[in-house]
Amino acid sequence: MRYLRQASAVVVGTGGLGSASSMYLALAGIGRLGLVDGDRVEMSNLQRQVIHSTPDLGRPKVESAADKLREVRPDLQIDLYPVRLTRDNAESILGPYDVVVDACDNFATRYLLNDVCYLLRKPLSYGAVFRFEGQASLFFPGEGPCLRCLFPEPPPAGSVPTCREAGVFGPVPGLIGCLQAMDVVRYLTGRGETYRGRLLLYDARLMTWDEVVLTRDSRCPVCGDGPRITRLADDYGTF
Amino acid sequence: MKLALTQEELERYGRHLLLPGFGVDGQLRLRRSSVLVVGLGRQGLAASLYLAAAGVGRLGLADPEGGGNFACMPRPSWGEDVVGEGRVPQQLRALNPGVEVDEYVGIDMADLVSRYDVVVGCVGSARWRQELNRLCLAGGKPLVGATVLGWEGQLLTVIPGEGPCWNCAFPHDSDGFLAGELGTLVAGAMGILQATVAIKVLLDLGERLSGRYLSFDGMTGRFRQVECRADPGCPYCSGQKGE
Repeated sequence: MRYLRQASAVVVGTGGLGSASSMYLALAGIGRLGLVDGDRVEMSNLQRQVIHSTPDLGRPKVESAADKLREVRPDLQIDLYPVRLTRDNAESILGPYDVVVDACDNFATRYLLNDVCYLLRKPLSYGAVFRFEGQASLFFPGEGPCLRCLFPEPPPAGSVPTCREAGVFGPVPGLIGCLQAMDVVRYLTGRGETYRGRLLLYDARLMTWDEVVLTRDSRCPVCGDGPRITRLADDYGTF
Repeated sequence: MKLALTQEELERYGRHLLLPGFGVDGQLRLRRSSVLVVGLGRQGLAASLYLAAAGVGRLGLADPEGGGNFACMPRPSWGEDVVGEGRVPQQLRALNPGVEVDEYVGIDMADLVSRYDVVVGCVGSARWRQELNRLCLAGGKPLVGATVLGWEGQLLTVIPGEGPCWNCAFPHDSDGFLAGELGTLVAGAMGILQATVAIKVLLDLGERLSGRYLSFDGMTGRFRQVECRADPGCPYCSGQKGE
């Protein structure tokens, strides 16, 4: 417990995934949490983003989330970044933290997070949801595997629907976010096995959890033997 | 009872309406449904939050062990009637004012079970798990039960008349406990999973984990499904097989 109290994590996104990961990291006893999200609370969030409430509609999401976190952990150091993560602010925002938690909802931010965490040597807890499915893994600082070992390039714009377009079953991001928090706790305390080197695939229709072994791809553009990407792209723009 | 979703509901549940197998019909069905959550610790709170968020029409809350972290504020024992001022109902109503939330104190549990479609069991003691098992079987109500032992979780759905009951699957059940930082998080995960499965039971949506229980290890983050069979000699359910 003492070690967790000295540790810090930054959660990028305070939606379905971030609601759960930030709350459970706080409950586990982490010392400091950063929250990054440029959006305000909307009605359609409340079906799954349980850290926000109906009275919070219209408020910046990081503020709404921080209020609930303070209720359970008055001693928690919380840093708020009510902005969208970009290639220009990523290094300064993420830099101070021990671990980065991907709780975002778009490919542009995912790839930015992947690249910047690799370059900064930060462990990155990866989580993603779609309809009834969820994924989780832990990308390891500077050693891979990383997101681009799995998917070297983001999908063409418009080819993969967002949660807004395809839907998502409410409790799914809750579970994945909770699993991400547990993984971060295991990483920080050095106990148990992290999701490093494996991709957890959850199907909430079948109630199955499959695991795929992930290894660093020697041809990966970021963490491979001859990396093509050695600094942040100019534009993680619109994927 | 409104026959269609309101404008606000269409917005609030927008992410469900596009889901195959869910849609407007599923959301309306959920709104007509009711779930009783028994146990209001970390596990029960998680289950209630996600059930309320998803739009279950009516939620009942009971904490017979009285040990939940968020249990009721002290209040007069009004016998069997509804009291609604605890912190958990407040939080749930703030999240989703469209859900009817009732918290019960000191009420006869058999009577309570009869008022809801599905029971979600989040109690700590083996004694209360067996009691819920017995009452749900007797009352013909599905029970989505889960327990946390240290940093391991187990979840099983008991559908009366169908497959094993809690006693068949876990004849040596012992009191639950949370170990370390992970224990609390495993409790949260089990609660979220119970909400997941309860909704699936209500909407008949895929695997309901009846006849196979879920086992989770918080130290490795791994899940397993474990087949279990009804015990013909089970004193609780042996008289209730389909065949």
